[in-house]
Amino acid sequence: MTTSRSEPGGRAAADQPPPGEDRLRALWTDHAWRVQAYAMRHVEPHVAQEVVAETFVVAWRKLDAVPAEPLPWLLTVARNVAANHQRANRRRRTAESDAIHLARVTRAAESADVSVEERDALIGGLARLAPKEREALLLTGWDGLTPTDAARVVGCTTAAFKMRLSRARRRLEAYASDGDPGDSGPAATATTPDAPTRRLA
Amino acid sequence: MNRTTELLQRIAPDAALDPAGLEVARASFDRARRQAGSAGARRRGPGVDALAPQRTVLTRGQVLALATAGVLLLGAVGTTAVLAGDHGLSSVTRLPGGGSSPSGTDDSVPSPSTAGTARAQDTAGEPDHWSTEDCAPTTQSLDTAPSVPEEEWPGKLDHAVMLPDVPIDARPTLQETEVRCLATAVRAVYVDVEGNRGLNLYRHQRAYTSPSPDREVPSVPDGGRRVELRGTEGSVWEQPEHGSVTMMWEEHGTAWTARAAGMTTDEVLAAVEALTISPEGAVSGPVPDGFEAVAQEVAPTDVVRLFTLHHPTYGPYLYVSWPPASPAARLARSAGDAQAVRMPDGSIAVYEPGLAAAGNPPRFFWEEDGAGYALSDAGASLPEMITRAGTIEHLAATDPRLTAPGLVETRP
Repeated sequence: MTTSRSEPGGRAAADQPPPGEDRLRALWTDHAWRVQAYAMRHVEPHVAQEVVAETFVVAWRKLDAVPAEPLPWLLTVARNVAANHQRANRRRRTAESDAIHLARVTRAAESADVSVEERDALIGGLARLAPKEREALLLTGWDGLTPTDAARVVGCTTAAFKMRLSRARRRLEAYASDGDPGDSGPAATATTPDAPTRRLA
Repeated sequence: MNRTTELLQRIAPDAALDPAGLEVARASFDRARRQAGSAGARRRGPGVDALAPQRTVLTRGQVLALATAGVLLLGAVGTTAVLAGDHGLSSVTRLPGGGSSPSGTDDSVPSPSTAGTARAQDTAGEPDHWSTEDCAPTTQSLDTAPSVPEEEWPGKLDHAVMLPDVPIDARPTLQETEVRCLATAVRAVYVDVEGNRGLNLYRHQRAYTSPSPDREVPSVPDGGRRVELRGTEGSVWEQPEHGSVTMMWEEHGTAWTARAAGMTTDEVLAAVEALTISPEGAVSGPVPDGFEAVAQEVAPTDVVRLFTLHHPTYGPYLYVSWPPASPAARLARSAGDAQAVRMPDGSIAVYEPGLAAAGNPPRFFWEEDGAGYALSDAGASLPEMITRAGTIEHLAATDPRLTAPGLVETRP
């Protein structure tokens, strides 16, 4: 946690923010967008709003339990909140593919300084990975978590996570080059039928 | 770093993907805090000031239903034994007025005392610490356990709570007994949250049969059948209408029951066969595929307490028991309509939608801070229950609201 912004609107001295307010504000400023990005990988945007709000309600209620490096903690809460939404909405869930979720959250090719083809190949490869493997890659590659923190988020041991991560990298490279991972692990048969391997809109 | 990993990092989001959506989330968050604050909720966090009030908040239609559910519309039925039952199955469910609970699933697991013609015996051969000699018949279940006088609450009432939007108008109750005095104890709980499947193992305090050499196998309830189980002859009782399977057998001189929901008979058989049960009643062995084992550890000498809040009109509506009876155990017990959910802190909670036509309100079971909770709230959806669970306000055992003059008298 770094800065705490000045109180907007010229708050009177006698009306100081309650203890923890600064930290909560910093949590939001620094991490809300990250929690939203995480949520949007898993649920539709309007549900992601709810996931973000609920996650920070939990953080507010349990502020003392939020560690100094809060992102893994926040993502763990967001993961559970998102899972509950997915479960509750299972019956009326729209059939958005993983690829669409991913395409929505990745940077545009121009701003990412990659070619459109490279970006689409990556998204297609990610979409073809088993969800656990994709999550392993993105928690470390996108969210910047260490394997130990990421393992906590997904609820497995660090050793198991590292194995998963290694397997995911290997498969993504094969998929992204339009090849085959060359093994018969779960992901090899878990290809999403509607996962695009060509350019997304 | 290879090219793929480098590209992956380049396309990572580096700013808010949906700023408008983030504003909506912030507005919802602020609103939830304000509502919690105005309801007098427990201040587990800082105050309720908006995070960025000077900014124009977008108000799109999609907003959270984080508001508390308003005035409780409690069903006209008590839910006694909702927590006690997780400690001891053979509880006598009852309404405040003495009627029986319409929640049939609570009583549907046979116990030695109700399993047909089976005769109960004393616990010969039991380890000393499981002796039940001092246990009165009225302490066989927690909800019929003796009440603790109010003057003793300061040393015993570790988990006094209330809902901030429901004033305490009726006298709360505190009951206690020892684990060894419960007729039945959950010894193992396995849950598959995603698949909504549950498996509980219960150790009864007694064997089914007499100690004579001609031991009888557990009697078979109507609709049940005998089965070879763990090297002995047990019985299976399938209730497809509830999606449940119950198995009973005897081991180490004690009766055991396995109760499962969402599993086939063969799956339950395989899971139960694979487990190891020690003479002391400890269950170990492989966790069924796709399940997780939920800690369910109570020492035989533990004192179990139950705190209950009552509504003057509708009866009991909020229960707290400790040591916590795992809410996850409700999944197998409830059978069929219960739904397991993962709480934000990773713990498992269970929602029972109830049956409005029978006046049976939805109930929500969760665990927090070393206690198990059950809340009845008519008309509350699962998200609303989760929200309400988050508003629980903790009170000191000496809080005057708990013992104020003029409270409507209630009987545990």
